[in-house]
Amino acid sequence: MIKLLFHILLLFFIASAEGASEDLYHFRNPDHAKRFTELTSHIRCISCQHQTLADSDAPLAIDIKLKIASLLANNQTDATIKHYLTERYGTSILLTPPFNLSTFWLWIFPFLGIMLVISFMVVC
Amino acid sequence: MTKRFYYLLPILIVFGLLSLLASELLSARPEQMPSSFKSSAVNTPDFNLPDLFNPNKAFTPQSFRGRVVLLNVWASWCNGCYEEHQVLLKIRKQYHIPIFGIDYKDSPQVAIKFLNRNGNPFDQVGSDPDGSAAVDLGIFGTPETFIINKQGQIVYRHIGSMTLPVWEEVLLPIVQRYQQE
Repeated sequence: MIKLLFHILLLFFIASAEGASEDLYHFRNPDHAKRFTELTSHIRCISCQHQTLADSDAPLAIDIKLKIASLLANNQTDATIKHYLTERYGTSILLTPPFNLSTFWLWIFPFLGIMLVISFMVVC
Repeated sequence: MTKRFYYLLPILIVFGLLSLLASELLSARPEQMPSSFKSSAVNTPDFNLPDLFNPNKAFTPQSFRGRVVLLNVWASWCNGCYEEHQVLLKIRKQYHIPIFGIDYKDSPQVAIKFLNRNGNPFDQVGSDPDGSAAVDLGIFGTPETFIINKQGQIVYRHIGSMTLPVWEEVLLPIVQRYQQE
């Protein structure tokens, strides 16, 4: 019985959170709401660093989420929105860093490390 | 010899990575943010805000076009802005540099009271209650001060409260350089 009550209570909280999110950003297009969830879960919260934008309720995170919602409403592409954010906050705002000259070693090092370990094991 | 090198290799790699970590930690400058709005000339975002004192009047980048100005993002609830306010008043009075303001996520009534009580260094202030223009400028918090050249481009950005020595040693020479252009 207690377990059932707990699950009902949990459902109530999930439904409230979903409703609150939609109320705040006013999505008329369901595709925009889906893209918003996808985008904000891949963007870092600037003022909290260890959270995604989607998970954060920090004032600046809410401002940025409102901006993303307004850019989506203006039919901007995901690439344009990411460019808008990186131009202002640097590439560190993206949780998946792009592969370019400055991030070359970041991407290559794990593979290089594995190759070094394998060669070390073979030789020894 | 080769075998000894392979035994030493993991130690060398760990040492190299720790040295890299130490150098990054020691050279980190948290006040320097990785934004192209920091120091390269980029156009001021095209915001359109109501004037704090007269909401029927607009405050846009056209309001300061053709002059080298300071654009200060501030709020009456921000302690750093309160500390910086005397510096802004001094810049306006002593150096005659036009200063424009963006009042970030603030109550207009409280902001007007703040300026009436502490003095108003601004030529014009735009009210940005939802922080939209501030995000367009890529701000991390208040206060932040931008130097904008005659072409309406951001040429320098100061994050945090500006002190008088910082103004005299860092920002003023930049303003003077762009004024002579």
